[in-house]
Amino acid sequence: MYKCVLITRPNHDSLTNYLYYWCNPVINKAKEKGFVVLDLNSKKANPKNFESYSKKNKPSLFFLNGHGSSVSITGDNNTPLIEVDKNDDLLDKAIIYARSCNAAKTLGKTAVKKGAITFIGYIDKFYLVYKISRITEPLKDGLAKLFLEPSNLIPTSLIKGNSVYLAYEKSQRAMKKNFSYMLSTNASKEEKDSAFALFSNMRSQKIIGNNQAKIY
Amino acid sequence: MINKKINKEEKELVLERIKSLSDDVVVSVGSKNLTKKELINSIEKEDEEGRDIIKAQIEFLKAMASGEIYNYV
Repeated sequence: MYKCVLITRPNHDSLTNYLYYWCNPVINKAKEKGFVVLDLNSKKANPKNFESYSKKNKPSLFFLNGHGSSVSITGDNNTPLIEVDKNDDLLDKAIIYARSCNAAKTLGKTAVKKGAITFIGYIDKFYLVYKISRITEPLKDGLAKLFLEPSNLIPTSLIKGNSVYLAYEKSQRAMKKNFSYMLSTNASKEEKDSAFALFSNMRSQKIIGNNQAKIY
Repeated sequence: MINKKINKEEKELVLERIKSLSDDVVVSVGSKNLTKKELINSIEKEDEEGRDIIKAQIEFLKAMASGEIYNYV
């Protein structure tokens, strides 16, 4: 299979800024594994680019970061990139990981019905808690790391050639480990107070479609 | 969720928990990035984000109380 990953990572508010920077380790891993990386970053994460890059390159993995709803995932300035019954067929024959709110609820199901192999996403809100004092250096924010490092395990594990189910299990295990720590006496007050949000992410992360699929 | 009536006691409980948050944190929920003050405001107004926070906090507390939480540690 063609080793190509398309990543959308807008960067127009503080959440998307965090997601933007936390995509860097995934991009590095993909390049290391010989993937063609289509990086639709910042303003490049627009509907025109998304459609043309998807149609031309037929990526085997879509890693979509940004705000979302049950029926769409957005790019720069919250402009929808992919929408139910509009262009969800662009995800045909691909594995998708959507790091955005609610998209697994409806969009994930319609995408799989229209030919996507597997859609991994969240059926409820995707929560991120981060520190104002670290907002200019997202990769050094230890609180955000508790949320974003486990979620990065989905794409990095897939890029390594693991199955969807194993990628999901690795992410779930890492969230459980962090959650356990957040409930412990070793955690800071900020970490303890954020446990509810990671708990929600754990329960809301779902696989739709073929859970044994691999990119290669 | 949007049209579901919020339980007053649950709302008060969540408000008190949020009031004790550190001033240094931002919670990103939906398309909003909310500081402690904004979270309190959202919960008091019962807007979409406020309702989401109440739901997530109450589910977490119920899981703690029922022991369901041990399936996740």
